[in-house]
Amino acid sequence: MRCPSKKDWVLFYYQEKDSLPREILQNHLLSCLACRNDYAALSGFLSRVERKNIQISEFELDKIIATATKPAARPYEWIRRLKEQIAENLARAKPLIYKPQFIMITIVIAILAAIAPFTIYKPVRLAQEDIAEVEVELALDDNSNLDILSELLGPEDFNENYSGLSIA
Amino acid sequence: MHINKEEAFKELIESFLGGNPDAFVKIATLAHADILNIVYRYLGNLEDAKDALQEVLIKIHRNLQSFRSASRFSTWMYRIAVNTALDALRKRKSQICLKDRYLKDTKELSSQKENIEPYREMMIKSAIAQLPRRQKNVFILKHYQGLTIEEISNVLGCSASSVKTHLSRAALALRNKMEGKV
Repeated sequence: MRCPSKKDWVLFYYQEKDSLPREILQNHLLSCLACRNDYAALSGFLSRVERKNIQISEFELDKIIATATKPAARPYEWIRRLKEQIAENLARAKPLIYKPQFIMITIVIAILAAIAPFTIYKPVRLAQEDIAEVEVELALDDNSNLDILSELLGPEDFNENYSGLSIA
Repeated sequence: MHINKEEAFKELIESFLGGNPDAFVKIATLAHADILNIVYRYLGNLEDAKDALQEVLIKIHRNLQSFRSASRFSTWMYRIAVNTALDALRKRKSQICLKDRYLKDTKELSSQKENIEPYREMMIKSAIAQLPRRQKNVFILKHYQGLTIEEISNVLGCSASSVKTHLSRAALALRNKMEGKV
């Protein structure tokens, strides 16, 4: 028989069943020296791990139980008290409309709402005007160039060659 | 947990839910030793264990009305105890502090090795504190509380095979750590 695993021996020590029946493990211990030594070391160690019960006095226990059953000693009690306080304060509070902060904020929002459309569209309109101005200037420059050309060439040659470009 | 104890719990819970507040005192008296032993194994000192015991009893008292008698009271109680102990460990920056404290204690004790029993106990506590959480849970519930594999799997909400694996790993890890130290 193959030697059982260490897990089997731990469970054997705690008298718990695993894949192998207890009798097989007991018989194996009798026949296998290596397993016998290994199990002796394991069981020796585990039996030395102290299992003594921890105890407290009756007086201490009574105190602990009294605290545990006292409603005020419950955790999260402070959250409940805080909730109650907030609800109480809210009930006593003036309606929002009477607060000066509320009125100030409302006025500021109204002013901003009135100004906003103009302030937003102004830069766009200005930019469009600038473009239009430059275009007009460029057109005027073209006219003056044509004037100079017509002077240089003379009206007849100019009309003959560039009549299509003349600007009204 | 004995069957008789479980039945006693059942009766006391019914009495408490029926409006008898004194029944809870009896429940607490009956349960305190088991709870204290579990939380002590996690926290390593009696003062912290007493605080944790109080917290567990508060939780039981507050939630007893929502307890369903379909499951065993002891399983429910052990689960609360384990979770409370783990929370307490987390709160005090947990195992690092505990390990440090144990290491400090063991250094002090190693200077007086003739006092071998407390020294060994301290070393074992230190080794248990250093185990991974699941192995520690299983080892404490099995070795100190003597719960069955099935009960442990109910308390911790994992499979029986997982409990067996963690138990064997914990026992072997402890033995390896303690080899040559005690």
